[in-house]
Amino acid sequence: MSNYNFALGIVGLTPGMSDSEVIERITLDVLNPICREPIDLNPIEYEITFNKIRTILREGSFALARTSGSPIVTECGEYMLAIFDKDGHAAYVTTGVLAHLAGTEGAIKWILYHYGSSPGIYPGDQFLINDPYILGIHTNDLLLTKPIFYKDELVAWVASLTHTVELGAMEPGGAAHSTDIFQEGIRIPGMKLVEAGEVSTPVFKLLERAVRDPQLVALDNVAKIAANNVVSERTDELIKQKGSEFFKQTLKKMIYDGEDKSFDRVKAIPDGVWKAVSYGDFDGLKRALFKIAVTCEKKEGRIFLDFTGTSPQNPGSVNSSLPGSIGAIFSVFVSTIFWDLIWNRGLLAPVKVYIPKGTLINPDYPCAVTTAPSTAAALLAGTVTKVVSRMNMAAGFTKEVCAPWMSNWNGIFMGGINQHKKLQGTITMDANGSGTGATGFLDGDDTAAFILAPGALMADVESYEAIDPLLYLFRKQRKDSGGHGKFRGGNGGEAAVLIHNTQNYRIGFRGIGKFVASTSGIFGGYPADSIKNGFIFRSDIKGLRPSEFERINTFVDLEKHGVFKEMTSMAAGTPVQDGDLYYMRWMGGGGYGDPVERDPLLVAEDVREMKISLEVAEKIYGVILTPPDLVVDEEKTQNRRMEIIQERKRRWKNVKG
Amino acid sequence: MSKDRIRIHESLILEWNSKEGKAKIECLKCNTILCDASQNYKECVPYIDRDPREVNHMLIDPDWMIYREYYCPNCATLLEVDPTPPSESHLWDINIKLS
Repeated sequence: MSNYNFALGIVGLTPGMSDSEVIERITLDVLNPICREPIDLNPIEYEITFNKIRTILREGSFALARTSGSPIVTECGEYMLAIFDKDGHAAYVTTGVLAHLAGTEGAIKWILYHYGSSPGIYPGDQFLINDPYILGIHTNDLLLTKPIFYKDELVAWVASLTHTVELGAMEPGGAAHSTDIFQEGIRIPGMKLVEAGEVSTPVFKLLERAVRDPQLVALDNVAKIAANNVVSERTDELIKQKGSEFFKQTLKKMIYDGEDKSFDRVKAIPDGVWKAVSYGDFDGLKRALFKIAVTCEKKEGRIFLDFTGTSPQNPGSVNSSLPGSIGAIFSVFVSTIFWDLIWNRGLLAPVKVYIPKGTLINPDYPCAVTTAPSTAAALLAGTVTKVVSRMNMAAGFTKEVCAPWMSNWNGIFMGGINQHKKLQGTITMDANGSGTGATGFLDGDDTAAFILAPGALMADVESYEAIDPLLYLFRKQRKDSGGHGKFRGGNGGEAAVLIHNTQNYRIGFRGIGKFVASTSGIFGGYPADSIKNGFIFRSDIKGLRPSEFERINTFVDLEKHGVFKEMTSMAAGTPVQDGDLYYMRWMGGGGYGDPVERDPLLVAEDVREMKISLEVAEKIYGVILTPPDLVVDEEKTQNRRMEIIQERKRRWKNVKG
Repeated sequence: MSKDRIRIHESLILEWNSKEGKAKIECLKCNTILCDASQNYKECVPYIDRDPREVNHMLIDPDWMIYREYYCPNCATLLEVDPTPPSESHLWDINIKLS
């Protein structure tokens, strides 16, 4: 099997193209419907086989999650498993890191283009790739893809991806203040980790030597080998039952169904133009205002997204490469308008995207991108949510209208010598419990999910404490953090974490959205509250008795034990040692509708459940509650809401004077 | 698609006005006509530039960002909160034509 040029003509690739040309073509190809071939499948047999394929991928996912020892994978679910046709078209993507759809397709086409002839693609091979300019997002995301052969014929690809703890970088756990891609860890543009069924020791060794925590990285890779093998073995059994032609046609039909159903749904949207803008406040190196702007036009049965007006690429890592940006857009479409369709490339077939080169969501190589999921890609998803929700409303899809989910991701990256005297570089994933956006009939979910990886979770604090030199003082939902509205945005959270049993460690922050509101509301709903980060150095907490220790439950409690040093939304790794602590807040989702229209009984319930404060109930929702049971005082509530309306009329002004 | 009435927002509809022979944007709560469909409704309704700290968002820098709140001129329903730098113009976020 030595030549795969048949796949390349589809993408318009010719020999000798520059890498940037190749990457742009293979990335944007995910937006093109695939060439149709005649399908001759019994519909019942098709449905059965389609569901078998889903089950196979599910089994592969379990194999992956159970084999990896990394909390990011095993507990947080930050992985993706997908199956592709022989040309690399995604036929089904399991939940997890949805933002990798475009990049994973591109990675397979990259392998076909560059390695199809030499060294060739053979049964039993598995290719490793993590270059963010090919795969998207950042170096931590490591993909392993395996061609599936039946006899000597290439029939499909399976790809598994994990968010790996760290792949080396100028700082442990990543490099929030990197200024180019070369500072962000090892980049692999496709190597055979497994060759003809044999694990490549040199490639394993390369990774061991390139990262701070080779054990967890190796476990992740073994887990992906296992997942790919499970899928390819089960697929082989399926093909033996049904025949390779039936199997190949089933994959095609899954994609055709995705295309047909998404085009059908788009038909219901009236022609029109919608716009949205979102802002960020840190360029990776310093405080700086930037924006992502989108104009969305529905016409001729398609949706056109034009990002003209978006700020130029940032000097630091607050950028997202093109595959990551297309993936972020896919995440929004899957989570909102197409959530009930087959999750595959067909869902993007009615969507055309133009992102100007040199912007922060399509930066020029070798621009730094490592904080993409925390910053540029998340903000992009929030921006696109705003226009898609407005389109959904005009189409009458009122239940699919929602305010943006948390449109950043305030994360901790860290490393050094841990409590087991072992070198490590890692991150915590607490912000996966972000607030989702409110809808027109329900509040957003509290500490629930992250838009770019909606299947991902927070790990138990004990899991982090077991392998990282950390002791959680508290981790909990934070009241008033969601956007206020007729329906409230889900609350985000806060955590205070003591550094424990290390004298050589660094903690850094990677987020945006402190000095500006990066998560908007919709239709009168307010944005979510800001993030906050900082340290208390040399706290006296470790000397406390257990009963005193347990009384530390709020930010105010923390301040009794040392001076809080507030940090910017993104901060390079700061040296810490035993007894120091960090505090961080992450965001909620945006609110929906006018807060004074919220049912007062829901407001009372929110106060009782500590989701909002009594002050906010009165000031923003106009609801007066009578202690001690916090019962709604209807007359006073009516008067307070009238006051709010009068205050609006007293203060407002008109554009035309 | 041919419709003479489309709900474009939680509190706004786009409706064909046969008297005037053109589409209008109306408040769903009080039926007040805000403007022609061909206009940016935000330029036709009252607004407040609010310091985010007024809604307890204490870390937002008001020199960088304010909450621009748009209201129905009759019933004062809060129609939209745009988090925006103070110098930005009024974003035309919904522009649909009836056909």
